[in-house]
Formats: sequence, structure tokens, C-alpha cells
Amino acid sequence: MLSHIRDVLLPSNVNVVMTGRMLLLRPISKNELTREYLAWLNDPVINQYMSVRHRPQTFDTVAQYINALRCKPGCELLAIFFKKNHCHIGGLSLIEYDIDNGIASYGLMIGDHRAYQCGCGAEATLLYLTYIFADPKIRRVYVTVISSNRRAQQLIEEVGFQKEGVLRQHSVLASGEICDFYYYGMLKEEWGRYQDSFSDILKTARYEKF
Amino acid sequence: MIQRDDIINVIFSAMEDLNTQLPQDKKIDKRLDVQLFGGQGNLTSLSLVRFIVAVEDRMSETFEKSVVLADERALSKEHSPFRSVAALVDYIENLLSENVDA
Repeated sequence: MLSHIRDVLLPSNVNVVMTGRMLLLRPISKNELTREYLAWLNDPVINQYMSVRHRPQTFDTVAQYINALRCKPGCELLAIFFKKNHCHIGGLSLIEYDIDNGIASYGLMIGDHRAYQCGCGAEATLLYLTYIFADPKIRRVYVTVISSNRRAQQLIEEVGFQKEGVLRQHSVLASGEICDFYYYGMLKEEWGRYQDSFSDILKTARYEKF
Repeated sequence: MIQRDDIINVIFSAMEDLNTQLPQDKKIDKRLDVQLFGGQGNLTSLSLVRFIVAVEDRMSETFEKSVVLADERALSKEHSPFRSVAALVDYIENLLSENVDA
């Protein structure tokens, strides 16, 4: 199965390694496409707010998702690891990179539920924001959140995103519950004001192109 | 030899710094039994990262010991070392006694 995936995965599209205090993010490779990774995507607790909740995921659907991102300039699926021992704990999707309008968007999954207890989502988000707002072509980042996902809302509000809009009854959870969909956004000048307040976390951040 | 009280002092020092950045109702008490993250804990994902960074930095400054608190080893524990101050003290004691560093 892995050799099949290796054959079908396109080359990575955003050749960067982001290294923070605890975490390392780099383009996902076939090595991370394990049964454990598939299990994360198919876990009803982990995927409850992700679009994959509606369909069982297979190695083929994951490869299709990665390749679809890799067909778009500036888009990629980054695997998230603990820096110390390269333990794979999740992924950060660079979903949109629109230089015509100067906007970008991302999605975050912490798959190893034990990693919630280390604040990994917060550090991954800050690493991404530092990276994307250093890009002179990007002046705005937005992110979408299902209304019942309080943990995600708390995180993105804490790092400085503003709630900009509500799409009413826009999402259906696996339970059948109908939820609103929130749009959050942050402008480059806003990040410029907030960034210093995260210097304790970001002071060791490094971005290496390869 | 680093004593347990030394570790507690380092953690309380990091808590003092963190409290300067937290709203009044989210400040954490300097007590061993105080809950940190999860359950009744006051820390959010972001403030937990700040706290971990602050403790690691103080460990390095005070004892010239480099410790990595958040890694696979922390995840492998049945109970999170970040659930309470006491649990974190125990975890750091174990790390130091096993000479596990960065």
C-alpha cells in the first residue's frame, strides 16, 4: 500500500520546514501515511469538525486530498511532529493561497489526542501565522470553524483572529446536529501588533527552505 | 543535586510571569494541588505553551539543565504531567533523575 502511495503522491509544493519550540512542521510524506494516520481521520471524535467526517477515509482518498492541494500554488499538507523525537501528531493544511486577492487560509488537525494536553495546536497556529504573514503577497488570513467547536474558537480568538461572519445552519455534524459556520479573519497589520506578545513562544522559530 | 523544592520554586516563578499575562479570573494559584490544563484547569492551549516555555527556560537559567517537557514521553504518561502543579513537579523530578534532557 505504501509503495502505491509513494507512486501517486505529487512532489511537495511548499518546500519549507517550520521549527518551533516543541514542534516541527514539514510537507507530509508517504512515511506519515500510516494506518494510525488513517485511524485519526476516521476517528469520530477527532474528525467531528472536519470535512472528512462525512466519508470514510482510505489511503487513496488521503493521497487525492494531498495531491489536490499540491496542484494549487502555495498549498500543501504539513505534517506536525514533536521536534525532539519526530513523533507525528497531526497536520496543518495550507488550504488556500490566493495572491490575486492576498489571502490565505489553513486548517489544523491534532490527531494524537494526547497531544491536546501539550498546547500543540497553539504553537502550530503561531508558526503558520508567522510564516504566512512574512509573505509580502499575503495581507489577510481567514479560518472557518463550526460553531460547536469551542476549543478551536478559543484558540483562534486568543491568537488574535476576529469573528467576521456567520453562515447560519451551514454544517451538519455526524450526529445530525445542524450548526452555524463561523468565519474568522486576521489582517497583516493586526498580526504585526500581536506578534510581539508571542515572542516567548516564537523566539526560537526557524523557517528553512529546501 | 536539584531538590524537589527547587523545582517547585522554578514552577512558581514561571507561574508568576504567566499570571501577569492572564486575565484576573484566569490567574493560577501558586499551590501544588492547583489544576493547570484540562478538567478544572485555568490554562488554555496558548497559555499552556507559554507556561511550558517559561518553566523550561527557568530550568535552564537556574540549574543549567535543559529539559524538554512536551514530547512523546509526556504523551506516554497515563495521566498528563500538565494536569496539576504536583504532577508537573513529579514529572520533572523523573526527567532529571533519569538524566533525560534535550
